[in-house]
Amino acid sequence: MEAAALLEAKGVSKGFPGVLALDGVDLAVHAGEVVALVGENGAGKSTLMKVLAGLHRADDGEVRLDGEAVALEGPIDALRRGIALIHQELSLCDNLTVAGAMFLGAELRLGPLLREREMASITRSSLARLGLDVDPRALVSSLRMGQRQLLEIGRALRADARVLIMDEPTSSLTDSEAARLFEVVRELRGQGVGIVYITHRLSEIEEIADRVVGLRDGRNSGALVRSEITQDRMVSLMVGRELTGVVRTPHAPGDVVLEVRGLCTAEWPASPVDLELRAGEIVGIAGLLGSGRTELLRAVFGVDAYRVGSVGVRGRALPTGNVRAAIDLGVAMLPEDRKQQGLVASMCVRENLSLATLRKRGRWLDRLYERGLTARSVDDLSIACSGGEQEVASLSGGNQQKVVLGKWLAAAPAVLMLDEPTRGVDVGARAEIYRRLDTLAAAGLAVLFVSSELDEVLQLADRVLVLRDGAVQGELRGERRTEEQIMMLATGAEARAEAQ
Amino acid sequence: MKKLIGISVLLLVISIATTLLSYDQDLGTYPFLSAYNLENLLRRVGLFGILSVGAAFVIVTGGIDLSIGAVVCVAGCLLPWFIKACELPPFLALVAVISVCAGIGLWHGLLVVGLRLQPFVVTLCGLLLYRGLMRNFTGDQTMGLGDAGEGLRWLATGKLSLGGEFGLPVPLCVLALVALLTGALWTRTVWGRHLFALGRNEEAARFSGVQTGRLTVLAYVACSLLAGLGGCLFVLYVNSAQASSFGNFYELYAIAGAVLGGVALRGGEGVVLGVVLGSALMQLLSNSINLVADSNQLEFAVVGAVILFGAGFDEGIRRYLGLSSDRKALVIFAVASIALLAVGGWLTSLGMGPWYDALHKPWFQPPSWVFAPAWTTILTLLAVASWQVWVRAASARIGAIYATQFVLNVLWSLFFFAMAAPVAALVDILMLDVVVMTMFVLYRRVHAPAGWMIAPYVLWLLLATAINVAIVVRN
Repeated sequence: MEAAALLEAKGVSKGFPGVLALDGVDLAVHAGEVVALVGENGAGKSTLMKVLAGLHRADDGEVRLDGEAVALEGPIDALRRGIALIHQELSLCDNLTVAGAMFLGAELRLGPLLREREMASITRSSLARLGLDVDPRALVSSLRMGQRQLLEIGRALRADARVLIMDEPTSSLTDSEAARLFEVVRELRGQGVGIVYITHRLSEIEEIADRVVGLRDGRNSGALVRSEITQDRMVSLMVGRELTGVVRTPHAPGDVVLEVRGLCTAEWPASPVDLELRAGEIVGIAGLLGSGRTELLRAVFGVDAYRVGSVGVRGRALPTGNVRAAIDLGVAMLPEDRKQQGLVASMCVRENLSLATLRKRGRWLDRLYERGLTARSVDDLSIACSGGEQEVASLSGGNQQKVVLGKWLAAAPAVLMLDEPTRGVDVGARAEIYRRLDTLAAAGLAVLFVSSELDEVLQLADRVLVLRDGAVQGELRGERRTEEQIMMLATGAEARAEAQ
Repeated sequence: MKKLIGISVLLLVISIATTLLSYDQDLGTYPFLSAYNLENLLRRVGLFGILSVGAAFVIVTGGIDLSIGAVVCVAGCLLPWFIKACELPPFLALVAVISVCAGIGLWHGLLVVGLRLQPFVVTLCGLLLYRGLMRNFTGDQTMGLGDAGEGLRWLATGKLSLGGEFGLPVPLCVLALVALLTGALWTRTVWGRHLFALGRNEEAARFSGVQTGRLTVLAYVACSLLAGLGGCLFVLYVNSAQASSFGNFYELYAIAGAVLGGVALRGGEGVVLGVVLGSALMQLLSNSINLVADSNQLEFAVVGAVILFGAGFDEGIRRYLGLSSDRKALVIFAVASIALLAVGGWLTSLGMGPWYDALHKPWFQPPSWVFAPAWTTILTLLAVASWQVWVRAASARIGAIYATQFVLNVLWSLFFFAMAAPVAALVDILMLDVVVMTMFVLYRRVHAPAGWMIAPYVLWLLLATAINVAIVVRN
């Protein structure tokens, strides 16, 4: 007989007001196995993870650990039993030191005193095993995202976790950090740790998973074993049909709508940026993390003030540091951090959709407008929610992003800027967003977007601007738009080659 | 909405309790209900309510204003000075004082928004600064209006007659007006929507084109402006202000009223009606203590205890709603048993006295110390047994029989002890015997151990019935 699974969900159901998030779901992970969980936004992946990690209690069904049903009392209880959740939003308190975070809640003590030195040395050695070389006394806030992710894993291993549940671990990592993470995952698998891996990046799953379990609308939609894992088959598990990628035919661009001249952001005061955007164009901005992509968009939108340079929209100058003026002149921006910047998460769908445009309807609340807008947007963008009064925080990532998009489309902008528009958004909703941007551009909207995913940039953009150190290193159109070209410009490899 | 209902119920319960507890036996009157007391109470509700609405403005943005009491002091000292020393026309003086106070709010707002200072720090320093300046400015002399500004004083001392003795104090009407305007601002205008959005997530609001800085400044202006208005009304009412004490601790009343009324300290949450009710609750408590305890020494302690109880109760309800239905049943049965124990004990204590002592009791009456532990045991077992049965076979029949048992049990203590009517009690206990024996049979059918758990209840009731019969016969 097969050995009992390390951790198993058996017929788990979980409902929230208005939705049944999980409906009799099964999932098992054995020792030394990487199980990938795939599904669209709202398919119930995060809920299932939370049930397994003790953050939610299942309404029905059971969670089994080593073949025995357990009632997890919470994440701490789960960790004590060897189940660790590496969360989508990194949960480390970033005002702690690395060693402090590592031992949080399980500090080594001598009576009332902390054994700082011992904790620091254990931290250093166990993180070194993960390939993370940081000073245990450094503040967590000084670590890069990838390093924090490894620290989270180190923390779970220190607690002798036998099951790691990783929710979108690479969503904020660079490629090399992600590669490092995969090495660690493989190593852990070799040591007999069971891993549940959730991601929207199907190529990662191909690379790392032993088994794939699909979820659709809160139910199991099938499973794939190692030899069957291909991107196409995973997609059909998620959406129930094969998805075709968007093939864009660039439209003939119209008049110049956005004109940036010699703009220097506060982060890159010595790198003036010039940029022109025409109606009907989709322009992608590529570059490594920290190359000044986000800062550029923020400055144009007026979130950050700049000293040097000018921004013009349809021939009219935009004042610096004035979001309201930018919106009024027809600029919209879908920011990078959806929960913190894009949405007021504790307000409802209706209030979020109308937040940017309500003031144009007079001083008094125009409830009729709000209701109409909500009905139109929910229908138009197929936002899956129980109604306009649902709290946005309870929507899935993709649906939240649609709410942000709906908010800006309500303003009928001339220029739409998007910063990582599909971060944490599943394949189905992603394709929908691409198609939507394509139609909008066809109707004359100028789109400027930043993305860390090269295939997204290549698929969507008519032309690509590559940033490095806050300056535009080059523009790629047509045939020259290749991953290699972008990476050369982004890393400066070409510049070095020419210099030699 | 639930919160509003909760506060309203609390207001009602405390009012009724105060009315009953402060009953004056010599005069046969209820001092709480006297026109004088009610007018006074409502006047204070109006005065403090205005401050609370102001505090709520700032709390909604996620900030705090600790300088409200000091601004009340500024208004209280400046208004008499403007009228008496500067000989400004009273109405003009009022406008001038309120403008000065609004200026203080503007200053707070600019420091908080422009320099990004902590609201706590800015307004704590303000608290010390303004009161200190006022003490120096007035030389610690008491400022009063004397006979000046008579017309203006109507705003604070006047009342709108409703016919009869009682009249609505004008400050309450001012509060109603302020609350109405604030409510319209918060819930009907874009400005209000933006204010609440910024309180919940300032960054997202800014990304949506909300002028967060300007709004925050306006909230501080509104807060100090209302504190100024309140301060003017206070000094018009008492007609004297001493800079060292005028308005001391008023910021705490204001903040407590707002928070009690459901304005969350994390920002972005609250309704004006809640603020008004919350601050009314604060004043009712203080009035209640004065009437019942005849002194105000305990005032702060009681206010603190009630707020803490309120918060705990709120959390308790939330936890209760999060329980599984099985656990909910256990909580309900446990609470019912505790209530039965408490009410029974209270009713019994009412009946203890010469009448009871004079009764001829039968030889098999147990000594009195047995009763408390006996009832505690019986009712604990009853709760557990009922829960066990409910979990296995919840039905309307079980619920009805339990409820009947509960009512008959309370009535027996009421008849026998509180009303000294043993015959009525006998009729009641005979019915109770039948009901509890039926329960015994029913419970056993569902879950045998649960049935046996209420056997002590049956036996004890039979004993009590025998005692009751003996008492009826022998007296």
